[in-house]
Amino acid sequence: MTAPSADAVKNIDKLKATFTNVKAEIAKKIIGQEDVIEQILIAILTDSNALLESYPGLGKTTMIKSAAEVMNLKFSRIQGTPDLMPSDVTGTYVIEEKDGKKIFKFQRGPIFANVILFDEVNRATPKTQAAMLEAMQEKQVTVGNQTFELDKPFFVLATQNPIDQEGTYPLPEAQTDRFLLKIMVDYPSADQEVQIVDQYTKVLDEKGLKQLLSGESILLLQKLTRQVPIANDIKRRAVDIVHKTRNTPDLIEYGASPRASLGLVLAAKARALMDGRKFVSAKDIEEVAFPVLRHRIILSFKAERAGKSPDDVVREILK
Amino acid sequence: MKPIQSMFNEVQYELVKIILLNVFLTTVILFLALDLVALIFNMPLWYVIVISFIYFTILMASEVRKISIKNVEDKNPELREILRTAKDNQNEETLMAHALFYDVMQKMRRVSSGTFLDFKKLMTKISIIFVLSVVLVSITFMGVNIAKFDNPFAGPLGTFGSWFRDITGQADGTAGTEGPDDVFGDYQMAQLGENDLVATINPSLSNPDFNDVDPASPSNDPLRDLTGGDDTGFNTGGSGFSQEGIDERDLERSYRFAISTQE
Repeated sequence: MTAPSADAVKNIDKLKATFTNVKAEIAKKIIGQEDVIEQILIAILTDSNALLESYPGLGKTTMIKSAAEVMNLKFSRIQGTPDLMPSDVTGTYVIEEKDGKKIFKFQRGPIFANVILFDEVNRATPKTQAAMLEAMQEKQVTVGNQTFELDKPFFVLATQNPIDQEGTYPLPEAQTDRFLLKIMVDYPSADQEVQIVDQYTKVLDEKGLKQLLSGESILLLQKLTRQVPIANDIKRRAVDIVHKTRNTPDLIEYGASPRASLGLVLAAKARALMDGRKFVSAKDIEEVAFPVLRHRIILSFKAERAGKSPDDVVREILK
Repeated sequence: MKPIQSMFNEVQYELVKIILLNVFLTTVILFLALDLVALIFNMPLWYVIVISFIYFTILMASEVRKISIKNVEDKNPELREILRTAKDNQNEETLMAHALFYDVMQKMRRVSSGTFLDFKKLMTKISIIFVLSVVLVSITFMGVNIAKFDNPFAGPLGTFGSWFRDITGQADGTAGTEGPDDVFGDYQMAQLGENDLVATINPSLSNPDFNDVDPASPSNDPLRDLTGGDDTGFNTGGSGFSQEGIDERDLERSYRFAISTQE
């Protein structure tokens, strides 16, 4: 590869401003939750998927819908229910009459979009979950004998509710491992809640958001994310953190897989890119360690009994 | 070679220069300190030179091995992490890598090699060198010499010592000596002891014949050898060994004998 032009190199410097604008635009609809928005963008930039855990009514749908709108991406929503079938997600063949003949035509399901919100994924049956997760992993769906490529970019944000576990099918560990990040959405502060009340009770806001990116630019950004250089010692630090999850039997029963190492480095690269940096910092690794590792470790009985959360354990590992 | 690689080579070269300076100053301190000890305890100078040289070589090798981009980053916080990332990825050909190299080159332009130097440390070393030099000169003038050095390497290193003395022109302050009991002066003098020295002395002491020496001495005039030549100050004239002095003693003895017989 020949050296890129000076202009191309200088354009990289504008990335920080671009992401700042994207965040500011989403913030017009979502008050607070900056970390959550940043983590959603990280998942999109790394061409991965995220599992979002929050109590109801915290604006998950609005958040992801706003992100899709700002990035000019096709958005669709799937509600997880026990009677949801895989074909309801992927699509199915329907009989259609054409020129007096009845033919089977593939009717695309809601998964054929760029940004999917799979609400309450743990309420869907394991069969549907598996179909969805396969699509997330392979970026394609197979119906009958035919395989259909999914749109690019493709991003799934699956949500689950930490309360009201009755009648749910919790995702197995092997499947949660496929989500790059597990994003925790916390309640807003009192001040932020006042702002939310003001924003959504005074007038009916029908104004759309500015479209600052496009599918093509997202694909380019995904390519750039993987190109962000990382120092060997920082890479080593990421791997050491993951290794430590496997060698801390006091706190962790089962540690993270090598996929976690990939996720740590990739998410750190995306964070650096969003910050306008052309290199990964050790701080990036530490910041993304929480969403990358919290769903990949199973706490030991001792840690559980001590009332530690996965984040507490990750914090101890980072020390 | 890519500009970023040239830049890293340049940084490496600058670091080696700074290490060389630091190691040199440390070695000079060690040399002066050892020289001080050598002066006080009358140790040979070549010990000091050899120890200092070995120290310099080992220290230089170890410091050069420790050279790391992290040293530059520590001195220039704005380069923290960015420099080592660029170094680890200097063979990358991606857009992001080039953007990083561009940034690094821009930032490195603002970094002078002076920032790699620890001036406080440097000044401390120079001050120590100055103090040691003053002490060394003072002690040299005062001629402090606590003890004669008992060479522990006389056996195994004796040969090397002789060789070193030869090549250095016996500049170690012990010229012409072989040990603590040596005779100062011409070392060939010591060989006299291996031969018999037979001198015929007149019992009456009236006619001492110092030239009648049988033939042990390589020289015909042992006194000449002892005094180191004609110009040195062993004046036989004023020492009682003159013919006049002997006659006078004979006279005195005759006089005393005469008195005693008279009594």
